[in-house]
Amino acid sequence: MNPTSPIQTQPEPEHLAHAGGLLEAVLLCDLELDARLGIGAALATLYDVFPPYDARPPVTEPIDLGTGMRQALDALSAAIDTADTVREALRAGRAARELRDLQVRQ
Amino acid sequence: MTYRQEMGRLAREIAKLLSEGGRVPGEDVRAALAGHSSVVGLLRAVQADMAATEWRGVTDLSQELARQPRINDQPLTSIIQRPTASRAGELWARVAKTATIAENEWHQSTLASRPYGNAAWSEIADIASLSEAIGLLDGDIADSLNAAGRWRDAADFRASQSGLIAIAQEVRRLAGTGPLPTAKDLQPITPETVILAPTQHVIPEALEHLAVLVNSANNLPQPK
Repeated sequence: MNPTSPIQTQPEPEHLAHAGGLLEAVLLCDLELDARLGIGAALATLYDVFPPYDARPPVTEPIDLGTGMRQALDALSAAIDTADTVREALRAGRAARELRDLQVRQ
Repeated sequence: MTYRQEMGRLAREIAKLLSEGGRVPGEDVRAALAGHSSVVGLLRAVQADMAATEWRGVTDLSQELARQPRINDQPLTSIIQRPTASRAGELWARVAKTATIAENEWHQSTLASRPYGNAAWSEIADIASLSEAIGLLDGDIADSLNAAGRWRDAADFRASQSGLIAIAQEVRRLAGTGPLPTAKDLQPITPETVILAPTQHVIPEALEHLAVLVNSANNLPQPK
């Protein structure tokens, strides 16, 4: 739990944090609506957890869509392999599926 | 391996199917159907024990799982042992084996060691997450069946997909609004205990499971 937060939080697993950071960096780029919604959906899936994850420093450097998605998929693959719980593994799998669907549409 | 370890392994394999795609070529359709059927069997078994929770969504999930098509047109043992033609086929065959072992671990556990109270919500959240994933993968199986010319079977998968996903999401979110402590592992019943078949209809499936368990066992006890 983050002692500075007024609500209960939990630590974010390393690979999920990496994937989330990459997707947030992609959102800093000028994207088409479909790409923005697809990345947003994947992020929403990653963060669909209670208690929420601890806050982390905001991302400031943009990453282009193709590179960001590829690296995020690698991070999610690692997150699946190292997941501690059933729900964590499946959440990473669902987020990766949303990114793959977006890749197909691009 | 214990029930929790098998469930963790099953979740990782299903997550890989979600991530990499669950569509298979014609040669691997039977592996996909076997994997799907085994997971649905496991989810129904665990969910049936959890459905005592008197909340409507949880019993609705049981009904949606009961509506899921289960096509077993080849013995499970031959599917698991047969080489697959694709990565997705290999993952589905592994899912079939892992789900069968996990279901056996569940049935072989004492009632007293099964989740209760808040721990039951953890189990329900896991079952709902797996149900949602299977609902998403139903679309991949339907595509595979369509490509293999099995349109009627494909339509069955499509018809049951959206209801399962919707209810599973609702149950997963409801379960996640409260504390979800890590459930303890199950205690196995003594090996001498006979598990009674509730009806004669389960006997063919039980024999299939027995063959898989014997084939995958590391150490078999010597007969007395």
